[in-house]
Amino acid sequence: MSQHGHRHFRIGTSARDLITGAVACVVLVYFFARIELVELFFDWTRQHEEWDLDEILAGVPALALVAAWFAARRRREAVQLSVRLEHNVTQLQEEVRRRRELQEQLREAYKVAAVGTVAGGLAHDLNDVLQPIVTLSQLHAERPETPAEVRAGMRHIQDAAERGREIVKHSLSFTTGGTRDTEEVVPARWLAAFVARARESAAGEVTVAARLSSEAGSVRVNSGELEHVMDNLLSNAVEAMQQRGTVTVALDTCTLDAEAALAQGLTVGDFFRITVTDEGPGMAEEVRRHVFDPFFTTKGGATKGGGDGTGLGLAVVYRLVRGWEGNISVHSEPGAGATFSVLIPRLA
Amino acid sequence: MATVLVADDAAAVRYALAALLRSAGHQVIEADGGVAAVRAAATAMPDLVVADLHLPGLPADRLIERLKAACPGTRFIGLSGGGMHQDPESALRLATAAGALQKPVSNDSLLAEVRALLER
Repeated sequence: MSQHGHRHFRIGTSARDLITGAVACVVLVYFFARIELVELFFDWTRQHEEWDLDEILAGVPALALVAAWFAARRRREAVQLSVRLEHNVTQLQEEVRRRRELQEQLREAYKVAAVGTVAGGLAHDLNDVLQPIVTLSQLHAERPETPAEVRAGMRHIQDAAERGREIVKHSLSFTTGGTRDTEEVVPARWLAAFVARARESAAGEVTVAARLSSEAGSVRVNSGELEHVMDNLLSNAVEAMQQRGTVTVALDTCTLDAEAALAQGLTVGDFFRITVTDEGPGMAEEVRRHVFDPFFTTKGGATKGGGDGTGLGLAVVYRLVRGWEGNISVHSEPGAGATFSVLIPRLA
Repeated sequence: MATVLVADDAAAVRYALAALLRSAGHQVIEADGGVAAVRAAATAMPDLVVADLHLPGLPADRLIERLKAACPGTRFIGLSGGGMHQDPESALRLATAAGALQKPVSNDSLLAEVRALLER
């Protein structure tokens, strides 16, 4: 509670109260005199000479009334105070909730940054390790004098090295925040083209549905990164549905007020919202909470495409979206599919 | 063909790059550090130097400077490991290299860069 608030709620007898009381006394005595109540009272007390307290007793009813007035005033103050306290407790609880959310986001950001630092250091060493593997396996695989059996082995080494290179590249996405070129992209147009491409390459019985707002506004992103983010979300959705069902890509706009912005770790303003919704089995709360954590994966070991089962796919997506001063969140319940929402600031 | 100096502190990287360049018909000499690279360049006068940008003993910008002094006509390809070294400073270093490639570089990319620089 603030110092100001503390003063505001003080209960007590102030100079103003004393003056008010004195004035009230004089007014009451005058009033009693006017209606000859005082005379009646004096007559009554003179029949009892032994009391001899006439003048003092005359003030008693007036004082009683003033005391009652003070008591009523205090009671009113106490009620007001309790209402205000209740209001403050609610505010305080709200504040605690917001701070917890902020802390959660900060922890997430620190975690990603720490992993980025580690990944950066590792990447340099790993690239040195990968160089001779990449060079020699390709060199020997392509030599005509290499026996077929050895050549097949070399191709496997090459594939493994390529996969290693991809993992390192993903890890490196953590260390390159804020230095990429960005451009103005019109989400409506960009997504329409993306959906068309996705439909062409959609595997199995997957349908790609689109619900795109025709808003003409734009966002500032690196379009390669946007492609990476959308590819990742789409391939995760397709994988979650086991290549069967409908993935819906939607675009709309929204305005975040102070509270909504705080909850998303963003600044107040207008945003484009891209959502990717699948009809998969959904996620348990435990999975949902960790879905953007680096090295968190539900995919059993090495698989091709999307996040590659490295547990870095969505962590990188998270990092990229945060790099555009946007945010990504997921809504999912077991048995009810999942919706990933990407918010990107709309350019004025 | 050309004489190429391969400088890298990792023996396996040196071996692999040298084997690749020899297979493309070049004559290759090797050095395992910055100072050794400058010395080898002064003696063998290579047409091209392929060097790691983080050789022990000599920062990349100094290495390029001294190689140019020791062997004025030589071309230079810098190999970067990426990661922690993708800072503004190393971006500057990369910019000063004639060709800059990110490890692990594919055989085709490296040979294409070598060809392009030697034809200049």
